[in-house]
Amino acid sequence: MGIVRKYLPAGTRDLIFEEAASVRNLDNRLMNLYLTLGFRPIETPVLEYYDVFNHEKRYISEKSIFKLSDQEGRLVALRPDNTSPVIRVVLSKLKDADYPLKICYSQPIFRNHIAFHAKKSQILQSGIEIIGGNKQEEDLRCLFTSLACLRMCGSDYKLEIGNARFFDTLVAGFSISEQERNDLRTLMAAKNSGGYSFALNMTNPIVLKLARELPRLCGSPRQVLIRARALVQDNRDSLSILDELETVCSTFSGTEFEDKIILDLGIVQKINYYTGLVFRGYVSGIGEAVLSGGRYDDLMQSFGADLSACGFGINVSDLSELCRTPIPRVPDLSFREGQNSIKNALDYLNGIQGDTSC
Amino acid sequence: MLKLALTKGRIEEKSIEKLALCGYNVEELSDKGRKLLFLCPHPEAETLQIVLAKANDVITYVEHGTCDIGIVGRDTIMEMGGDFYELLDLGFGKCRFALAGLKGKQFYKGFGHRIIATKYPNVTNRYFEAQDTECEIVKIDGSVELAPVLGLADAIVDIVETGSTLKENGLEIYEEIAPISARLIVNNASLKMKNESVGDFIDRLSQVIG
Repeated sequence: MGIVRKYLPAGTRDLIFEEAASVRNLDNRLMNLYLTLGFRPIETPVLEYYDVFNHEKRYISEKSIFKLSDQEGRLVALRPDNTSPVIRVVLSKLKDADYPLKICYSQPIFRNHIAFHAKKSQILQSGIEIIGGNKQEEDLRCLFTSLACLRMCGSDYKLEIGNARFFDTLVAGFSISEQERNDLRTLMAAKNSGGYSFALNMTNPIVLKLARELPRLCGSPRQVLIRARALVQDNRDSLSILDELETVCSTFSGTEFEDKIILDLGIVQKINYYTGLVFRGYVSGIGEAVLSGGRYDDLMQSFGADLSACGFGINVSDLSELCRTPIPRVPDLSFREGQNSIKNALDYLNGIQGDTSC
Repeated sequence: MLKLALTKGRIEEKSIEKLALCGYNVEELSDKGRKLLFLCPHPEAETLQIVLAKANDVITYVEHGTCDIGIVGRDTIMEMGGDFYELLDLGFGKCRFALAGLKGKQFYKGFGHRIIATKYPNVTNRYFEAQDTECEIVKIDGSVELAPVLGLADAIVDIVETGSTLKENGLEIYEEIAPISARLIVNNASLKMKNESVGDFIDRLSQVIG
């Protein structure tokens, strides 16, 4: 063996001084918020069986999961997400707990990204999950908690809200194949209105109109709702989703959160993970969503449970880069022999720490 | 201010023309020297800061949110992928991806191992995977047309505009893979955080592209 390598695998980072302090500080504040709002913490291992993430509703690509094997050669993953492990815990150990269950967590997730994109392969993800209970109330609780988290890093933030089922209700009446529906979904997710005419060879003028307009249905709730209602006309399922979204938005009116909420009706799930409400949080200075969440009843079902569930995760690693925490200076205590230095140090500690028992 | 990453070269000129039609003052861009950053003010809309970059970098800048919007060819988007919104087909910079090779040769005939030379390994790989055809890809950086002529590859996958380069080198198109044109891409967060100014920009631009 030669000299030890002193650099890191791609995508990983050391956090030095202020960087480490900032992550810790933000993480603590978020956790305190969850606890204040009645959530209870759980921790799960970094290692999980790969199957936990490889079910029918698989939402993380096989390529991006770090895999190893256990002593019997079974496939094990470095957890790429926290929601599936939380569901595993709920369905194995918390079956008899009091519902609705309000769970919070904060632990790193790992993703294997393609090289040279400056993406972190280890991210501290903090979040909540609410399982069982009244759907409308859970949705609002999740949205409220999201907004309370986002405002921790300044006033320049937005929460976009949509409904994963909206697209499906819109195309429900059209006679298009499953393949075409999936193609449409992919194009819609990228708001790619230019791709339609070619990719689908569609002649149905309503589908084409939809394809052109849906990606643009994004902005302040009032305007988006007006345009959306004109687009869906008498499609009753779509209209009822719009009514639901309007109710959700109006719940926040008159509060400081009112102008932080935008609607995006072009949200579609490429994989059918979310089933209703979907939301993402953005802050100025970060080029992708720092918070993402929604209702995932179907995911619960692929674990074999008929329970309602809603939650979100926050990328604490990225968000902490926006709010740097300075490290306070401490007096230079001396620890020299014969100078009564231990007593001085203890006095200093007792002065700031008070009671040290747990 | 909105930051726009603009692909240098072919797409650049047409884009500037369209921006001028939208009412942006593109004077700084007409005499640019070696500068890479330009300001384009507008009497009513938010000022644009234009960044001239290579196609791949346009995507990188937009994906990371360093630039809010970008103008780049569909070819680069297909090859690089990435997470951003692709909101407008700008209608210029039109060409297509095609599979081409020596004139008169039947590409799919026989059982032999096939080698494809291309600058676009991802596009090529996806195309052949989708039709369950196995091909080996050789990445070439310069004139791909040389590869079949010199015997390195059985065919090439490349962008074709008029087809005259192919013709002059004794090649022909076997199959068209996908049409290409310039696209307007938008950073995911910018569309939400700067919803009004990005929306305004898109409205103006869509009016002049017809």
